[in-house]
Amino acid sequence: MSEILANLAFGFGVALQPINLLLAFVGAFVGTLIGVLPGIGPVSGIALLLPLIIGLHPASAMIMLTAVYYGTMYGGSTTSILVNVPGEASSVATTFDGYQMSLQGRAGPALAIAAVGSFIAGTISIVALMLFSLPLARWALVFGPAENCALMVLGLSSLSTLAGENLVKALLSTLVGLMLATVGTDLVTGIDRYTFGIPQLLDGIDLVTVAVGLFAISEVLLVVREVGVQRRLLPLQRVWLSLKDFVDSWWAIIRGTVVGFYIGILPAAGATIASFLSYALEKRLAKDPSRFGKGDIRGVAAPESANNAAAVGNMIPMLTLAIPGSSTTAIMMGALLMLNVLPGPQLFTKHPDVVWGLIASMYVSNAVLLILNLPLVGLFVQILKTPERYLYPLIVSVCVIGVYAVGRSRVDLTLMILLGALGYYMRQHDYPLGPAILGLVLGDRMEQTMRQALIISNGNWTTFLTRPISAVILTLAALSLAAPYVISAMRRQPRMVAEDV
Amino acid sequence: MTADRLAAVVLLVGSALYMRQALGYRGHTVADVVGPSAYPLLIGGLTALLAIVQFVRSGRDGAVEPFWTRHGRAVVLVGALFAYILLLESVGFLLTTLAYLTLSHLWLGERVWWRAAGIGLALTLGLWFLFDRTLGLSLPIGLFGLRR
Repeated sequence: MSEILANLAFGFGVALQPINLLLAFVGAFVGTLIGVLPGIGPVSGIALLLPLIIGLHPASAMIMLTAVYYGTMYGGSTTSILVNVPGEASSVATTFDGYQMSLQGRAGPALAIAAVGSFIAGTISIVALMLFSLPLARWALVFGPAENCALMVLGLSSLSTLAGENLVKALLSTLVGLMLATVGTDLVTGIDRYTFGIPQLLDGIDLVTVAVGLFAISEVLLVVREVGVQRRLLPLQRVWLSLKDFVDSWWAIIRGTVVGFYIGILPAAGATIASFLSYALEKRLAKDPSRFGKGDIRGVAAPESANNAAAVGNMIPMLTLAIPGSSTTAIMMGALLMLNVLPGPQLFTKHPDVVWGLIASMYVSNAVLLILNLPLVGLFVQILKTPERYLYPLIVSVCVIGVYAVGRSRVDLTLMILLGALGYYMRQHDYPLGPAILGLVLGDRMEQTMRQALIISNGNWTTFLTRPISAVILTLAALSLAAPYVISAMRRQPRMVAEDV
Repeated sequence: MTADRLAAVVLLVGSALYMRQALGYRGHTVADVVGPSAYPLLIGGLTALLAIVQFVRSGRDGAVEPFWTRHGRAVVLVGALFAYILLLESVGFLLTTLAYLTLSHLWLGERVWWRAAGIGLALTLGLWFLFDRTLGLSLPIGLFGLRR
């Protein structure tokens, strides 16, 4: 315990340095902006900021990205409540009661409970993160290449299972990401693969290019079709919270935190699932479930707490095992790799300033957002009124600048457009985008660990199944792929959780 | 053919080409037993397998709008983007972005041309000052031969 406190004190020492505090403020502000703006989500938002962090100290870079991530979540819930447009999937559940509260003139309490609930959930989960991550990282230190490779298979397969309706399409999306990752110089033999003589491809396809193309450009391609449709903006009063509202929401916040954190730790199960599950749980536990969907404050408190807790929980597999649990954490891990910091168990010993600075900065971000957002919510709402005909072209220009900044080459920009078109197709035909990004981020290391394991075993592929930990992890991966079929068989029985959502 | 089947065929052909390419990669280190082609063959093979599954299982498409009504704006934007990046380096960031933003504003419903251009100019200069001057990303200067 005292060790954790000492580490935390060290972390605060890093996070509270003036430059890092400034970055946290800037990140939280920009993140909220990104979250509020339609047509640009947390993944593309963070991806666009990646060119700016090159040259920063890794701890400072992570502090800023974490603040951005948190900011997008706050911003996303703001639009869910005020205009019934969730900024991202994890705030969809918030719209059910949040928008109803706005219609009843209770937008103020809804926004306030979202902020307060997120703050409480974030704070509790960060404590849990500190308690969990160190033992997990120590345990993972004994993992060899076979185990690490198996872990990546588990991460990819469980994200595929959870990402979309159609498992085959999700797996194909994963494989496209893995194939994109093979472009470039093979690190073991030094030969070029899939570069087709284009020198810009020797280092591989950049994460920024893929993330911006696949997420941001495709999203703009999709939304320009609907420019001209009027959004209804509800008048906003003071953001406040009565003691009664707070007392009503208290247990919803606590349960949302527990559910969210637990779901967040599981590989690949992220904030979206956590928010839906906690909403369903509150509805089931309520004495008067009929009030849900009609503006019950618990229907806002629970999913908002859960998605924040899950975002923190998600950091655990990313930091300790180098297995990101969501597209957003995949991008953050990509950022760490860009800065030559390899996540995983060694991170805690090699870069303690990054880990503990990041953890402390989550506290700081939470506090910053609470201070920043409650008074500034009116300003962010004004941003929502920006006409789309000015907004979308501007987003495209920022994407072009961001991708150009990576390699100063037209090759990257061409790839960005092609991937944008691909993402546009994928979005319309139910291929989830998250698995492709995770595949791209993990692909290189998955191949390296696979080949190292085979070098150790003299080319014997059964090594993955004869080493016990690796076998267990691979079995879990197989189970996660079989799970949807089992569940759909069970669904034929009446009364399943999902129907309550 | 349904969209999913077409995608399955494209993926099958793509993965076949991907694997054919992989066969040409030979390793040179003694220790690396499987060489640089094994992993691409593995994921290429899995892709081909899943593409076949998708082809077999795919159902019918629902009612579809005509291509141009549904995708017209996206096609135009992709074309505009190609023009944008083609001219970016030779003409320079300022002029291409100004032209791109102004035309986009008009295309997306701005009726007053000077407002489209004025807001375009303001945004272009804003981006230039933020990214080039403040953050030092040095955007292409193009026709303005003088740097800084």
